[in-house]
Amino acid sequence: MATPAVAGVAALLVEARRETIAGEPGSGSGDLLPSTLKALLLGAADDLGNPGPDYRFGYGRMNAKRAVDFLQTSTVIEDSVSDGETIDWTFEIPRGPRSRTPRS
Amino acid sequence: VNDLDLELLPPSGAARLPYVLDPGNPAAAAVTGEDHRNNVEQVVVASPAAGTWTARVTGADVPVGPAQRFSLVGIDTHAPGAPSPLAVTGVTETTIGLSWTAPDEADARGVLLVRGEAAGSWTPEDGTVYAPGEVVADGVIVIDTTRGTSLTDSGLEPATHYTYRAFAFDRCGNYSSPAEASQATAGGLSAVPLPGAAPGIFALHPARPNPFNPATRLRFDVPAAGPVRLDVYDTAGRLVRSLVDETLPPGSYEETWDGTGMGGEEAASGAYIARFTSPRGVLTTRLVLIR
Repeated sequence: MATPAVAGVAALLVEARRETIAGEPGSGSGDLLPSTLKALLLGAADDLGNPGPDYRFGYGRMNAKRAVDFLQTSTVIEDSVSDGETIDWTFEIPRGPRSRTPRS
Repeated sequence: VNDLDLELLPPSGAARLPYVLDPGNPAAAAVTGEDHRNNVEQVVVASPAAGTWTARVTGADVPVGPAQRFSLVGIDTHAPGAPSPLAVTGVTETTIGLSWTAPDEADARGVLLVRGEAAGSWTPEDGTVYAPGEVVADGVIVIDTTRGTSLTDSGLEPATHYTYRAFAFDRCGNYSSPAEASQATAGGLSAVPLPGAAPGIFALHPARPNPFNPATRLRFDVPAAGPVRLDVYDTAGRLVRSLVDETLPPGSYEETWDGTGMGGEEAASGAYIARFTSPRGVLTTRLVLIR
């Protein structure tokens, strides 16, 4: 019964996206590519089993709230690439302390 | 059919590659390397070096063309540094001034400031947006979410202890570890004027109720700002309790004497003298406490 749950969350992501961009001029429907929804769901999953993807759990257990959080806070690029072509996107990692307290 | 490759290039050093699995050994943990099998690739960098990174997507083999569409999602789970130290810059009876260090991350969006007795153990949840005035836990209230580095918290109770926590947050809703401060408001011997116009003369009104048990109210008027005292003496002339000793702005004031001495001990039944000292002279009124 995992498939209907994932499909439902994908629909929630589409709905959250439409609400987020509603009223922005030129935004069209704002619908994201299926590959973007997939990337958000996999990136937001709670990893299970071996670190990273594995044959037993894939990318882990779907986390709907994190997926919506990421949708609203992440950088999303949708583009296309042809054979042999390279597309670069640069971003800055600022200096600063990296420490954080563990959550209890 | 089409094969795209993803890699992250750090400011210096080797490219970070996505997870790959070995189908010949399915129980093995994922390693990193070039992936020519899957249509999802994920690169994870636990503690990225500062500087300019490049995310690179290459059309390694795109026979079905002319081009392959793709999505690249960049997820920041990296928290900014705490805005410590959180410092107290000023205290009055009803306000506490605070200042803190500006967040260190380039994508920092501001600081979340909370107050409350239990604030010392509360932490925000990543990805959640909090609104000023929101009660986030029992007795913990959001003072503000601000891009500034100082704030004056107002409307506080005099002579009361408050605990504050400040968290820096970034564009992606990651919250820092807390910076903390505790401070008591001024007061204890403090008076707040009653509403209404300033009175015309210095005056001490008769206590109400009188005789009294357990407490009585003493009202006095201050027509012009000046140092005033309100003390309770026993009939032998010994000071029992100081109620007011400060410079007050014009107004009418009411203080309550609860029949206790300086150390909180209950005063005995009997007569007492309330003595109001103003810049224009001394006024007294007689109180009778009945135990």
